[in-house]
Amino acid sequence: MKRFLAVSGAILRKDCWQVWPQAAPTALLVAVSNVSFELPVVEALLQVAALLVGVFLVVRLIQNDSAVSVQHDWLTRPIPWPALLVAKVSFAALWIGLPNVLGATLQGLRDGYSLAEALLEAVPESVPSPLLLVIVVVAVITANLWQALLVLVASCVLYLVVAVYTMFRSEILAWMDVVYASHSGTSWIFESALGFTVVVTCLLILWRQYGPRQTAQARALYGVGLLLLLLLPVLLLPPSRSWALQRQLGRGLGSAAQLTVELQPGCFAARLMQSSRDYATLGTPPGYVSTGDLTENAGRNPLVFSTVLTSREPAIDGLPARRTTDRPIPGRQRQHVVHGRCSARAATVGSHVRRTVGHHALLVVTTRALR
Amino acid sequence: MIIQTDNLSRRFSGHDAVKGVTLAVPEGATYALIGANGAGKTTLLRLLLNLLTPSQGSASVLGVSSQRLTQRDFLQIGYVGESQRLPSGLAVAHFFDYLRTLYPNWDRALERELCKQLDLPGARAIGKLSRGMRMKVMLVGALAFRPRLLLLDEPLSGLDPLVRDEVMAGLLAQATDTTIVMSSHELSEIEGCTTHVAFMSKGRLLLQESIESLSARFRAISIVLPPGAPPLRAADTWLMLQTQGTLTRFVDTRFGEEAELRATVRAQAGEMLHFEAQPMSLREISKTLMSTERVEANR
Repeated sequence: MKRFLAVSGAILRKDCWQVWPQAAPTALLVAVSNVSFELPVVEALLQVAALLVGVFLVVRLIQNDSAVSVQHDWLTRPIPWPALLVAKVSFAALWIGLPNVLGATLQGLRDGYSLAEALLEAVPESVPSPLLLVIVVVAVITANLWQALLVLVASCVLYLVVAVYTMFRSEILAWMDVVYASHSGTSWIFESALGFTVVVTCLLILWRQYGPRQTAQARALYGVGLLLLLLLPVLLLPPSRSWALQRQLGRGLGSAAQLTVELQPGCFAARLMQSSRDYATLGTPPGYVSTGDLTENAGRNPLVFSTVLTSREPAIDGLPARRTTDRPIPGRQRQHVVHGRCSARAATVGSHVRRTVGHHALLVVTTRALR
Repeated sequence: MIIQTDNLSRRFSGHDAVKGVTLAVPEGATYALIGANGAGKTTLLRLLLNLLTPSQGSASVLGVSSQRLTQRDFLQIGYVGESQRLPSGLAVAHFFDYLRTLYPNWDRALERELCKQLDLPGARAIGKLSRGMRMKVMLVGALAFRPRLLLLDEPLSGLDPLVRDEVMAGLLAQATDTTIVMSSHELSEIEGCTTHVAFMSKGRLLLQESIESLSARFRAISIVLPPGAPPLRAADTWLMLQTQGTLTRFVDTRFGEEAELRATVRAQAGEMLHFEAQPMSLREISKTLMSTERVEANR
């Protein structure tokens, strides 16, 4: 273990020495992209730029010690490949993750949070998404930056075309006021399947490419993984299918009749305007609770809040809530995803509560800004 | 044997880069892999290092199947490749700092000595070094942990004579307990240190033996026959038989006793006016073998 860490550390230092001229501006851009300038266009552009330079940096970093090669120095050195990967992940955490946390913390402080609150919000936001894993894998199975970009762009376009086509076909847009499947209350099925497929496929690819260095097999696995990802929207996005699947998965579980959203002490003044909205006419089965609309009219940042999830029976033990996403959606709305913890029988899998193993629940609250 | 291959083959889209190579390198040897460009030397070395997977056959390195080499084995294997890609943005000193952590057996004093001997600029980025300098960096990176096995792929290629001498001096002085396998075109430079020779052509191994045995059995023969004497017919073991008037030249690849060869020639052409059997350098032997292969290929 000591040697493993020493080797990882050596590779990390080597990468820092080698790549810091590209990494430093990237880190700065990533940090700045978290800061609000009250100029949505500038903010959006900064976020896109930060994403792009981040992708460039990750690809460059991985391909500095390419596994699709017979020439790179590391291949004949005493380097265990997991140590190499740990070093690369550490580099990404140092030069992309940390600036992300710092930028988000700075913004949190500007919004009036305490340092602890700001950090508590910023750290979960900086947890890398499966998308980063996909970028890493594409960098691993390609020989240069252009190949990697081509594969990434082609994969994204293909995936988006299939996903959007499926959504239009299932008329989600027609009966929902936002372009997001979570309002059906079943998005967790699609998202879990997506996350599982991405993670498992990526781990398999990394193992084949770095272990026995079977590039052809790793690339074939990528193709299979992409095919599976293309099938997932077709199989799981149409509400009829996802509802059926959710009913099957939820069979035998108790159903809490009511779901309320409470504000944590110390959060912004807000009141619950409507505890639930009946979506039954739109196809939501009885027993599934839809969105709670929260509004408030005090403070300079009315959309920042924290919540705990409660139900009548059994009680849900709320942990200090964490906002993990805060994204604008049409109609001057914002969507917040809040983590809480619930008891074993909290079977209410409403439109915004996702029950998972380990009694973790995911609550999605839609709020409308009053300005 | 520190390296042993059995019927090792590697095919690239219909082309045999290495075909049925059975090689045995004894521990402590300095083993020269000789052959024309495209003979399969680099592919063979890459197969030994598990950079490539064999299409057929097997190889064992340090007693381990080449496909199962682990980082523990690489602690004992040094490699210098003509086309090896070093971290170009790194300064030379930082590169050695990095390598030092990878090898518990890294000899810092030897690193300093080699850097001094080869006059390496520690502060300069590897990407900004000349080809010769980069080769020296690779050599220090492969020697300073005192490997048991050193594989060198064209380490002298493209270097000027002064640098070649420096590299060879650095190599010879420091690799006394190391088995070296070296592919090279610069045969005159490596001849002095080579103990064994393998000759490859079109992916196949044509011969492998000790340099003493090879030098002993190869002779450049010059014979002057009397005018009107019948021309010599090539024996199986003679290569590059050429006749110009009364002068006949060839290379005898199974030279044993001079008297025996004289008797063979006399039996064919009668008395000779002049007979000379000259020992051949590795370069001359190699040239002969390559030319013969080319002639055979063109037939």
